[in-house]
Amino acid sequence: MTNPDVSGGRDAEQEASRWAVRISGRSLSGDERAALDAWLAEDPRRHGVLLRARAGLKLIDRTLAAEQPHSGFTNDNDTDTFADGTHPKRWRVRVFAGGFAVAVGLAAIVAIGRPVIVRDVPTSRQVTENMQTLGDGSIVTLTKNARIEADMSADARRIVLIQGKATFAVARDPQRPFVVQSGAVFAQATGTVYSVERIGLQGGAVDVAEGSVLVWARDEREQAVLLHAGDKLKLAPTVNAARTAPPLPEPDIAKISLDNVTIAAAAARFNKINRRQIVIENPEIGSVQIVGLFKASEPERFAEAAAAVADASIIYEKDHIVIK
Amino acid sequence: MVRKSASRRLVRVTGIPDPHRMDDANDIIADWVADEILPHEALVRGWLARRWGHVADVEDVLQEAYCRIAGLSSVEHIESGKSYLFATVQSIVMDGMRRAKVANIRVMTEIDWNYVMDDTPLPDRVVEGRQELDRVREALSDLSQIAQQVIELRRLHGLSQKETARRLGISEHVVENHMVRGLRKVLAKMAIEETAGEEKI
Repeated sequence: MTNPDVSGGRDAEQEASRWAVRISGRSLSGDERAALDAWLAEDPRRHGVLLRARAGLKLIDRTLAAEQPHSGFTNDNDTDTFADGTHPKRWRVRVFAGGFAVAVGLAAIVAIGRPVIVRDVPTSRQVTENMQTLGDGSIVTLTKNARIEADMSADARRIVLIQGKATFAVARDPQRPFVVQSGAVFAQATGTVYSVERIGLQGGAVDVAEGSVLVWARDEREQAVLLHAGDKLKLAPTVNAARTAPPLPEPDIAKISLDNVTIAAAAARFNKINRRQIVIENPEIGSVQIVGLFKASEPERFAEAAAAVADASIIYEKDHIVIK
Repeated sequence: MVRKSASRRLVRVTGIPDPHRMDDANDIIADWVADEILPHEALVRGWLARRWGHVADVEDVLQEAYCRIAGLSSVEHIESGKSYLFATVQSIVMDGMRRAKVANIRVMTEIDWNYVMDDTPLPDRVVEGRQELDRVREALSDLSQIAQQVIELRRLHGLSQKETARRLGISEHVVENHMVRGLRKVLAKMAIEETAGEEKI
């Protein structure tokens, strides 16, 4: 063997690091535990390599904790403060008790050393009495009188705003749409920050701080409006409004937002609300995925975009748009 | 460092820990190692290389030392991790030489031992500790932005691997890889003696 490090040292160190990460992050499954035992049994010295790796993780913890502005390092020359302040269990509580600003989302996680996430733990009740972490990791801030009900399932996250105003920092999970219902008004988003305020029996006001939110009333999702950061929208549908009545004040802003859906599914949405129907001749074209924001009343624009994406052509007929 | 293959067999494995005593007791030991041993590893490694590098394989000795520490059931009785580590590596080297019947065995004398302890000025414990954190910080800052985010979310904010993956829009596997790579960078940094920059692990 020309380089003893390759077999004895570095590989063992890499494996040990992986096991250290696994052990510290969660409880191992039975199979994993057996695999770890087998790995350790192969060379008894691996116990030492693993111990060193685990200690390394703890050093990382101490370093991150020491960088926390709220971690209470008031006197760096005080031995006791240092030894005490670096204890992981202590700083974790302190970090959460600090009550930091909420910022969760696509680009909202900042570099090491700046706290970004607030979780609700019993010790921090005073600071975060209006703040709750939902089961999915999203954070909701409630006004004094606000009440919500959350229903988290495998394929959707549904929040009903019963009264008051709630601000949501939505955890990113494209597989599970996050929908807030206020009366007959719905607002859907992911990886964003927005608030919903209950207005009367049926209405809601949506205010977007970050990202974008799709807002609609009742089952008129096809007529949804896409709001961006800084946008506000107040919807107060009347109790008796017919289901077919356009709920939005300005029909020309009604848009269909497509986020990686198939052309076939998107076409069906256009067909539901337009007289001029989109016909897809080749099922292969229908299965192509498309992303975009389209005016709901202009199936032609969508058809053109779909044809471009799927490398297909379009034939305009009187009542039909044929993509083939 | 040039290795001497003849000396590689000098170190015998002892003190095999019980693998099932993994989490609770070992966690205390790992905490202690993070505070008391790892910060001094580079110093001890440098000293080992200078003093015993010609007869013993430094990495083997250190591995054995960590293995012995892993076999400890308690560390409460140990006053100074630094002294303990020096004493442990010393005894490992001596054991190895005795077994190999090395001709020019030179038993550690009182004077040698003082030399060990005075090898570098004993800095104030706090200052030393802060330097350790600086080195870890340095290692972390070399990582990619995403790796830094992973480590912060996992280790500082205590998010699960799954949650971290979801928030960053990456797979759990990638999260684990970032963690492992980051940890290895830190471990490598801890192995290098700062005053002897060219000395590689």
